[in-house]
Amino acid sequence: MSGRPVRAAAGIEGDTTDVSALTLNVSDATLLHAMRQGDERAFEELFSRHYPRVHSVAYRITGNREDAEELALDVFVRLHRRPLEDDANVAGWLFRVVTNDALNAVRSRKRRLGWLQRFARSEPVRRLDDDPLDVVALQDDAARVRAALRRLPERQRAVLALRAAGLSYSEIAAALGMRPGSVGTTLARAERALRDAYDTEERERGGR
Amino acid sequence: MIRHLLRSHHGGCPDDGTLRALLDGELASTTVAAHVGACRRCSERLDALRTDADWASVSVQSVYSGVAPDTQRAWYALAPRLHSAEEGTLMEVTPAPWNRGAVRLATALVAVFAVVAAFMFTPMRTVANDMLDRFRVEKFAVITIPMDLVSPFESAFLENLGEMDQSDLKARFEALGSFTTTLGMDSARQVGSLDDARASYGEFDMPDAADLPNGFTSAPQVFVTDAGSATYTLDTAEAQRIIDDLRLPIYSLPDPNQYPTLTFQLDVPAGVALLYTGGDGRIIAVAEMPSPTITFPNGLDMNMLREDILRFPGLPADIVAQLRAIDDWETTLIIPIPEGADSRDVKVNGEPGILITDPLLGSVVLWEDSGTLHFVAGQLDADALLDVANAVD
Repeated sequence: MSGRPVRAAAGIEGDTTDVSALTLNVSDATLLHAMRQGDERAFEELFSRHYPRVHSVAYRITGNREDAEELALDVFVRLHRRPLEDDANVAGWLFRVVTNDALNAVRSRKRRLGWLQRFARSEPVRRLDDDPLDVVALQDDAARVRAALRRLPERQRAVLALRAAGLSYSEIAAALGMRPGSVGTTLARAERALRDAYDTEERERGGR
Repeated sequence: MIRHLLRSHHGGCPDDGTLRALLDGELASTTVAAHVGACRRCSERLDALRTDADWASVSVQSVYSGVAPDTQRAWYALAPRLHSAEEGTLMEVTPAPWNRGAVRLATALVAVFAVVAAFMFTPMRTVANDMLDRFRVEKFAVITIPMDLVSPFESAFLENLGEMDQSDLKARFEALGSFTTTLGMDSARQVGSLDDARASYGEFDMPDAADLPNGFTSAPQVFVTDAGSATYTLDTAEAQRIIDDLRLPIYSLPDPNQYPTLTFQLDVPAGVALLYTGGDGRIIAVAEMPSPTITFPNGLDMNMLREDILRFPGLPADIVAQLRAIDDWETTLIIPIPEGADSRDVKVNGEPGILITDPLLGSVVLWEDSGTLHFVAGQLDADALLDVANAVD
């Protein structure tokens, strides 16, 4: 089976079949190397390792679960077809590609239907014992947040999405093609802008 | 924006971006932290940034809560695409990984049967009938489960938990009953030929090679699964104590003095699965097994148990409505499917069945014929898969 090159590349020998345990501490670079040697297990490990956050980024930018799954899977298909060099930053590459793809998807979808409008139509999960007044307030509040997000420039929306997905500053920098030193500034501005946009939204809705 | 620019240029003070990085623990140097500790203006700026950051974090998370990606499911969806690349691959792709995929799929089939069996709901019987209750599959019903079903359950449960020590409760749950099983996730094993499977399982139905879509191998890989059973014996008195402590609305347990233990048994017969591989990496699985059964213990009031299930804290109202719409609980296999998957009733060789289509995973057809459950799954469109199912005889 295909696990052996990973072990060999990682300097691990032996006949144990518990590859998942063995690959736990193997670096992305080692897995990339093994992958380039044709080891499918190495690719699978990279997938398990990075898919959840790649999906999370796509979901937070597109706001649509099915789109996020498609985008996230597509990124891994591309990685599989064109394995990166051994010294490449896999996570950074994955985040950059999925961020760009997700933003492109949002742009193209905007022509047909506002992405946040789709969210505005969906309702938060409701518990049986929720107070109806609280539920209404919650829905209203979420709708304002979505509307406020829609007011932000693309880059600010993206940085909020990436941070919410749990990416570090260096990962966000790689994804958005900016210097790591600029992430804090961009993030602080985006957070302030979101709050301002929310206040504006509230004023406008209140004035209706 | 102007106020941000103004904020960022006080002589000697760090800019907003640096302070924001400090909040997230992204600064290696301790110089900035020391400065903020000594500078009232920067301390106030840091507080303002923290307020914005916390507000934005809660707001953004609230909009997107409740979606946890299913990596395993995504992998099954991804794998066929890797091998149906429209352009040439730089990586050498050998058949070996797909053998592994086939074994996984076969194992998954067994898991599907096991999980599906575990989701079987209780049969409706009269309270007066003190005979053993037994559930057997004759029909199917599908209910749609929200992706974030777990979180309302968890929150409802934790609310009831109150101050109780969670680790203590875990230990009590583990001591609540004893579980034995001969069912294994790895019980699917490949055999060399169809005759080997017949020797192990007996006669089974399969499609003719001519009925498969173009490009699929005529000789399938053959797997058999062994029969097995799982038994859970519950300590009734301890269960009642936990229910009381957690104030759970469960009323179906019998008197512990009369029924000190309750034993549930799941029996899963042997099965057979055939895996046909397409040139593009897609797979069609054709499987069958006699209906699994669940035997319920004496003393359990099935009507009340059903009501307990339907009333369980956190169970969303639409699921309750879907479950209540099922009129025959004795022989209806209830299959939970995620949001995004579709299902419809179909006829397969004249027998009623159900077709479930998932946008990522593909389609599956289930039907029952003379006590045997049939299962055809594959990454085909629904009509093509139904054609294969109708060819199974």
